[in-house]
Amino acid sequence: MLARLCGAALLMLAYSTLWQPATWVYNDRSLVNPTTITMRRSLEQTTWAMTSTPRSARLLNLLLHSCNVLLVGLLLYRLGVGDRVASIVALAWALHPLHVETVAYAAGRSELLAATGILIAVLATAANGRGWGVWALLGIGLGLAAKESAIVVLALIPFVRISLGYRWRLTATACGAAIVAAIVWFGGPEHIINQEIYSAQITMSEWLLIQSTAAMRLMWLSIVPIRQTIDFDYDLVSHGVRVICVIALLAWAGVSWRMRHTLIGIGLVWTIISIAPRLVVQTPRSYLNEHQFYTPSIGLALAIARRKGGA
Amino acid sequence: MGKVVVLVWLCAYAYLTHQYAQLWVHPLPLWEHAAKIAPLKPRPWLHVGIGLVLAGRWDEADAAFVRAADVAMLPHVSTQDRIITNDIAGQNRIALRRLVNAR
Repeated sequence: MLARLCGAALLMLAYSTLWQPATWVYNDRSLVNPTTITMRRSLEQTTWAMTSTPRSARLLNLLLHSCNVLLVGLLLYRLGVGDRVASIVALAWALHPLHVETVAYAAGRSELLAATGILIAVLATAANGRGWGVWALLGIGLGLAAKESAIVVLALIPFVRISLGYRWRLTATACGAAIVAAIVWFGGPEHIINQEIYSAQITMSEWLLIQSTAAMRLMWLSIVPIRQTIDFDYDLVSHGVRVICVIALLAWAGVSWRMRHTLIGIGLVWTIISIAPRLVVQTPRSYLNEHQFYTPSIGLALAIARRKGGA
Repeated sequence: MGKVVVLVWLCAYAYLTHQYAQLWVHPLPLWEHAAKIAPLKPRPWLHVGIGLVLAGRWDEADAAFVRAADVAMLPHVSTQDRIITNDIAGQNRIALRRLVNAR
């Protein structure tokens, strides 16, 4: 208990500079533009109505992050990790510098809420108790009401069931149907893939190359969090390096899938599934960044833990 | 020994988080840091200029907008970024001149 309290205190201390009088969240309208927050993000809009100052907005973000830390710890415990290891890994994930952008940045609110929904859904799936489906639906609804990218939960749920050896066919069919329904509701593949304005679109292959590079860079930053920046210059990365990154990502996916029954495999596949939509959907002139890596980083936290008695 | 390693690891993360969080208090240090890491990208320089305008440092802001426009003309920058940068930098420079003349 004392260790957990110290961990919580360390988290508050690490983020203590955010309590300085900051006008960053609300004054920069280019970052909090009401027209870009669609009706599909109704939950995020509701939370903005609850916080009237930048300080309270950041406090809510930090509280959501703390809630997600607890859920990550619970998920680790449910996946067979010992109590102490689960606490340490969850705390390390909480304190990781990559999450500063998610907590401090206005647009990070939707990522935090989406991650909460995803974690509730996957935790219910892993628990597999009576009525797990109800909790999973609640988590899916919460995630999708926060951000469209939470749709990855519909792939994570059947994957976790496969990995843990539960019955998965019915769940996979239901989730697959839900994904198709969601794509049709959003307006079809054309609308999904081309979120960017026409004149700014690049070819699918070029987008895949740059996003793969961004993904590999963020995975590297997860291990060695040095030289983080809000806006990395991926345009300067050579074509050869981009191709290597795509190959590395494919190799990562293949190796992770083969290890899917181990915790490290579960974690690494989680990361790939969470990143996958961003390899296809061109979002307005913004490559994969730190706050978009929030949900995938949960997978890396799972991967570094170790179950009681081995894998 | 293991406990010491874990403690050092957690403290290192907490320290790095604290350091990076300090940049997020105001847009200017955040984008100056971004411009330092990616000096050949126009967008950070644009935001440095905007931050300097907000801070009342108009001469430095003008220099930042000029830098953004120069960097935007480098061959690796996309046409879209080049157009947006020149447009925004140009508009901001005109607005700054009007503000200076109005003083």
